[in-house]
Amino acid sequence: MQPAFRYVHLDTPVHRLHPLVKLIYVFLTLVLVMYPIRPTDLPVLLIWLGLSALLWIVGRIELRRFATLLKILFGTFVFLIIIQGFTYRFGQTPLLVLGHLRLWEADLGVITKEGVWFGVVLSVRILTAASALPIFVMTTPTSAIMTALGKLGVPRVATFMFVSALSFTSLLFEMWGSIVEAQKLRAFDIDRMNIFRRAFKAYIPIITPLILLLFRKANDFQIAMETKGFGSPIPPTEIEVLQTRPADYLWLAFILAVFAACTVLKFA
Amino acid sequence: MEEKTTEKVRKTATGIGGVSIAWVTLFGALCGVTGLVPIFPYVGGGGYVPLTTPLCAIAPLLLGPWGGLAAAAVGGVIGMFVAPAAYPLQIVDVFLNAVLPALFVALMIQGNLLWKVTVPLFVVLGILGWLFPFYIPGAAAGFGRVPEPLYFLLTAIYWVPSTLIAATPLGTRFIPRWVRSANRAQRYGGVFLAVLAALFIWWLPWTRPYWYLFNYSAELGVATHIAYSWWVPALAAITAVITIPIVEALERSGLPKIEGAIW
Repeated sequence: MQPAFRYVHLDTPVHRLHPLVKLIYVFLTLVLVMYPIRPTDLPVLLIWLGLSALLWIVGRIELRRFATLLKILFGTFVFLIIIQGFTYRFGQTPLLVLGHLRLWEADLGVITKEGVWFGVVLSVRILTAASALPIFVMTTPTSAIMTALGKLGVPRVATFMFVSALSFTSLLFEMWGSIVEAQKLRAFDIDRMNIFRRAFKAYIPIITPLILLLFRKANDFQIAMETKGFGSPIPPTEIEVLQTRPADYLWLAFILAVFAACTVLKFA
Repeated sequence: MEEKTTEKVRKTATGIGGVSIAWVTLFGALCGVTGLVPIFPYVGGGGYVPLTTPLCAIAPLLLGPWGGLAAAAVGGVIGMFVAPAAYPLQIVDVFLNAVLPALFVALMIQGNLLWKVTVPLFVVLGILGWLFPFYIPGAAAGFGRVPEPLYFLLTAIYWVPSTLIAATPLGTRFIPRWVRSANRAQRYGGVFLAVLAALFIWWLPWTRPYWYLFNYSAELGVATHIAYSWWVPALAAITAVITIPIVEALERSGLPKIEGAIW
């Protein structure tokens, strides 16, 4: 169990970009994908996906990461294309006729060309939505996120919890791996269990010791925090002082322009 | 003779609802990391519920209501960073996958105190779940017409029983008592019922944004309500089965107790 997407230290324009500009890009992606959708919206989605691809390339994120993203979403795409193929209510051109089962507005025995196309458009919508966050995660260091959250007015305690939890994830992956290996030595191999047996039986011998170990570690962590004066009323210093550069404004203007173009194209 | 001195104790920001920030942080990290562990498939394929969801649901049982909610929120955000592909709706998904299960379980186990909040909230969520997306935004956004009263009745499966549990002595008296009971059978029953009621009501806000995003047809909306009617109890059973051994282990661990937690 290892994350496919994590921060990669590189010196690229996307890595240097102010985190707030990247956050705006992530937020605008959410707004764009939540617009009501029609089968003719593919160009709008492809323009924004093109922007994501540009950031992906400029940020020198490996292509295999994108393949991983596609692999994760593949099941959803297949589900959408099949389901829309069968149930799209404006479908008229049959692609495959398995029989006839008319239910309210759709004939569930027929896969239609329009339905499959709409499924493809929806899949691009999901891909567009899912491709934004990995760019932010893989190009923004934790210290910069912490400073950016501070600038957004997020309470210090919340920022501290988030950054600490993020830094503890590596330790958790290690602990998880150790416990799974220890259980395998006791002939408790979760990899050999089917999905239902695994759901009901496999996680108790892993999660229970993990939580106990974690809470014991949390006691030490609490002492360390208090020793270092966490909670004192003095404002803390920042590890990384973020400054806006002309390039940040240019990127922001570019992202906003693409968003405006997509919106105009969508509603024109 | 020694002079007695007074000690000034300043209030610090190292606790949330009686639980230390360190505990909340680490449990949040665990919730986030388990976003990579698929536990239960969606009906019809297309993805899995990660272990994050049951762990966030039980967070209020282990850390008390406020600590549990905070841990779930931290876990959701961490999950978004660890598995961004699983969070296409970003912060919205943090709420759907992590915060809401914790919130509803917290409300259920505090039923003796909060039922006046829980019951109207469940009714509002039920009605909104019925209306969105097939009536609001409805045809304007390309959604078809759902057959009535069938659709209303199917939606009611997900909110009426939960509301009844929350409004009757089962929710206002017995569940809050059973989850803290020393009797193992009662505790299993209490946790299962609390999680079941919470997950049934959670299913409505959890599914609707994706129905909108996937532009579900009316037929699929009806079919999904039927298909998930066994799935939610199964997920609640898995969650209860995971919870009790953890709670029993924590009771024997000698770790400091948390106010509002069930151990």
